[in-house]
Amino acid sequence: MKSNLTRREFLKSAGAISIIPLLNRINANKLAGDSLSSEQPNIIFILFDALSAFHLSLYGYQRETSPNLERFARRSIVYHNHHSASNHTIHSTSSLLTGTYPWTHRTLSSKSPYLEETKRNNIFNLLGDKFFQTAFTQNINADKILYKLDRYLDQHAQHDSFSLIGNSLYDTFSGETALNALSGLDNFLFDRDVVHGSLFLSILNDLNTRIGLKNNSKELKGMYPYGIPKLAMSNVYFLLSEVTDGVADMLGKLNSPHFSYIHFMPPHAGYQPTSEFMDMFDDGWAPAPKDKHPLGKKIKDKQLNKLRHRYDAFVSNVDYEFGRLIDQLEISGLLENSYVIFTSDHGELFERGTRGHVTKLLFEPLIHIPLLISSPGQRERVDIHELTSNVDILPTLAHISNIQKPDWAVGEILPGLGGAHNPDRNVWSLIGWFMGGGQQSEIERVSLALNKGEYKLVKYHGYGSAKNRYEFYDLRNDPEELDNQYKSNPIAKEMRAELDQKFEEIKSPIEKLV
Amino acid sequence: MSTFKSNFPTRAQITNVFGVIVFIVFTWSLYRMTWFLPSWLKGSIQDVLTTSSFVMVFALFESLIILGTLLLFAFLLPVKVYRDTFVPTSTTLLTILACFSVYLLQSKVDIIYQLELRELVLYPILILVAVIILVFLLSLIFNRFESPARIISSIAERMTVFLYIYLPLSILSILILLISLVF
Repeated sequence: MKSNLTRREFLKSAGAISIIPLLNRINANKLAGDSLSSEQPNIIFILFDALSAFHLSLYGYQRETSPNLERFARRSIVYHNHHSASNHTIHSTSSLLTGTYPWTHRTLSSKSPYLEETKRNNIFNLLGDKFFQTAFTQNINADKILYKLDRYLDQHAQHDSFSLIGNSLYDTFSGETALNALSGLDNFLFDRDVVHGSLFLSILNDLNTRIGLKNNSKELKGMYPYGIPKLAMSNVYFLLSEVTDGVADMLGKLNSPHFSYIHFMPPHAGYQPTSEFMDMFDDGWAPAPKDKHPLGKKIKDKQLNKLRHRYDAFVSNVDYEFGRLIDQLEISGLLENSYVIFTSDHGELFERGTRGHVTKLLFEPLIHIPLLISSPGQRERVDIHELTSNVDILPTLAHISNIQKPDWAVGEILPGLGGAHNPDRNVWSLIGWFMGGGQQSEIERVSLALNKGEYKLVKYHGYGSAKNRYEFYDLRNDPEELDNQYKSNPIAKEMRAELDQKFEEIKSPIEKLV
Repeated sequence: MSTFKSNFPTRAQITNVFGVIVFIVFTWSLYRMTWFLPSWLKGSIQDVLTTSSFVMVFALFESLIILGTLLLFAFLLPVKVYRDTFVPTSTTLLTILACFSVYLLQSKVDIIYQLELRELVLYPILILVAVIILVFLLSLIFNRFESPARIISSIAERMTVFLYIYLPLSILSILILLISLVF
């Protein structure tokens, strides 16, 4: 396990800045247990990045990717129709933490500062002193969001906690400007995927990193055929098993009741499972090919299927580690007195010429994500098939914490945990970009999806090859979204009126928004 | 103390060599910045200025480290070997190392991640030994042939102009960082 201190201290002292103390992320004034009720269960929120429900056998996927999740499901509420508010971490995580859709929190890039309302209206502030609040994410973009809300956290573990080796500067100093700037410096100096910005010292850094990796060569030899997993946009390397153990250990040491937000990086690209999972799906299976989408890329199906194979193996690896985590929580007794939530921030696509999630598209594999919630003492599985959204998480957590749902949260309390069953509700997903004036200006290019009941209408607006393109799918009869019925299905016209009205509302510059 | 001082190059020599270092390090950083700038420009002006300032300050730090390393060499190696030909030897050495680094970064840096542990330890030692041998060789050449030494020294002297560009830029960057991060 790596030690951050020596390298970070060296870089801090060597720089021109001689002051600025390291942010004290442990709030010493908030002694855990002082104002905490021992009757309130813990809430352990576990999120795996880029995990699509479409690739989980729990939800009917062809490959047996999630036996451990299925085991967990036996004591959980399983939400079969849960959707992310976006196909990208920044939009989606902000929606999850604020209970609002992207057009409200308007965090559409990692450099977007949080609006003043968003800084106040979030889950950590809402839960307040009822819990000892801990957050840990391996995703740098999500970590920047957590730093914006840092004042509400009692403990904010650094994103490279439990990692093997690597360098990261961005969280050396506090403040949004420092975060964005140092993140840029991290990429500039250390990111292995680009030519380094430093002529000499970065090579020494690569050497040092590699020596550190090779020091574990006996243990790691052959373990990672596609290389040791690395945090995106950095050269921080980690072993998922060590991160799992580190998280379990951290959770076991927290005083109750605690709200712990844990965001693992896998199975995000580069899809690097251990060798024992690599050959699991050498079954020759491939899904039926789909036509390339005009807004997608042009990757060939053969390449997509290879990537899908690696991704599925990585998903199985993730499932195995989640199983280990749950076992450790059970042994420690945490499982019995906690709400444990399993979900993702968005999905991943391997079809229509496109792979990954950085895309304008909003097909179901990108926005249909898993959600399982295990209540304290729950022994029976409950299945919920209504449409739900990750903006529902905040109101639900408030409800189970005996806090009134705030007016600014647009989500609903989840059915099965006190919410009403509403088969006709609207669930929205968006990916968009602002015009040149920044986040207070009009949203310029946007993909907006409306899921309503068993139907889905998508609008692609402002793109060169799709100025105003609509797609309509009957998801009950066409779950693979093969048949665009926009022109033939009368329900499409009804939904279009609703979608267009919402589009006009949300694309306005911020001063026009209520 | 006098031995210590006599091993060290003169201030003028150090300035000339520092000019070469600064030219190489800052020019590379600025060149790479053009690659990153489009994505940085998506942020606020403050973010762009602060990021650029961090890059400049790091370049200054890197330059000082390299200068310090060369001065350490000058102190440790015999006077006649290095100090007497400090400017031309350092300038040539820096140029060769810079070319090697550029080659490594542009095409071969992944090779580092393919080396085994003993190679990772052995190769840098071999490079260090090669550098020391090169220093000896270069000083031999420049002691024997004054003309190339003079030409290279005059080139190095002209590089000091970059100190007047990049050092103020670095100081400005430090001020920007102080304002951004502290006030």
